[in-house]
Amino acid sequence: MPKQRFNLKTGLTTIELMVAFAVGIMIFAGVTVLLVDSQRGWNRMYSRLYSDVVTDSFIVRKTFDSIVRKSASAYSSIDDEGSWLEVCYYADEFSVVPDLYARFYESDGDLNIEYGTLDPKQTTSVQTICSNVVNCVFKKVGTSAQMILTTEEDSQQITTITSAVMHN
Amino acid sequence: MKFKRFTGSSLIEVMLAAAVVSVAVIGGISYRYYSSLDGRRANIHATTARVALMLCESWGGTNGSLTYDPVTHLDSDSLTITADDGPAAPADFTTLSSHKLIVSNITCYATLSFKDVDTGLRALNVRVAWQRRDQSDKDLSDMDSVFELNSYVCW
Repeated sequence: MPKQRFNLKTGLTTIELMVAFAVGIMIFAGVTVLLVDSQRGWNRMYSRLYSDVVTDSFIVRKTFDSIVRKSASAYSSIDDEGSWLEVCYYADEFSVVPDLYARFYESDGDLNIEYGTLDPKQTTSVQTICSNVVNCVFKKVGTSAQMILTTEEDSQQITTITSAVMHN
Repeated sequence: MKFKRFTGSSLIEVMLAAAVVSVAVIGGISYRYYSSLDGRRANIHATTARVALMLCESWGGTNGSLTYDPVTHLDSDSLTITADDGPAAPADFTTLSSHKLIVSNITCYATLSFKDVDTGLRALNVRVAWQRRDQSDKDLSDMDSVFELNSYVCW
């Protein structure tokens, strides 16, 4: 009776192992690159929406808008170079003339608002509403006032344009 | 004695797996591409809308003066305004001026127009044309979107 031979392949050959290893490395590298790039993209998107310069820009727009829109245009004044803007407004409904003022100006990279009374002219407080200011210029056209503000942080630069109309 | 052993995957199985992986990869890349593109479009849209609002309010601040000139009043280091062509004004409106504006490397074109709707009542219209896909310096003919604002003033 002839001997029966079983040529069973069990396990993997070297070639198969190397191919599997190469494919595994490629998949691992691809997934790693994808994850790292996704994380970077997420960070970029997050900073585009929530970084300091973006939130500062939002606060500046809201603050400028709320103060200028309640101001009397006849009492406002502006620097010839546009480096500061001063607006006057009523303290309450019983005021017959504007009795408070707010002065917007840039100093050492900060955008400040100086609040005070008009009679007597006295500063009551100074509030910094924005930092990292690269350029800030104010304009006044008729009864409207504009602010063009450029801020920069971590190579992210934002130009904020805001405009508001004062009342008479 | 026969041994019928199936080891490994068939060609169909491999191709199916490759197709599924390809769809997943293309989907992921497309998602990231379009989310980034939409973010950029939103940024351009918001910027041009603010430009239009500023033009409208500064012109309105002069009670719709016919001598209003944005170049004189608003041009600065961060906002470049030059006289140029602009989008067409609405029907029945008279064009005051057209301009090219560049802010944060975003180029847009604006046209200011007006219409006296009644005695002492003037309608102001500001149209700003911008390009959704590319924000670099382009001609007016490349602009594919228009943002429009109307305001009324007594004069």
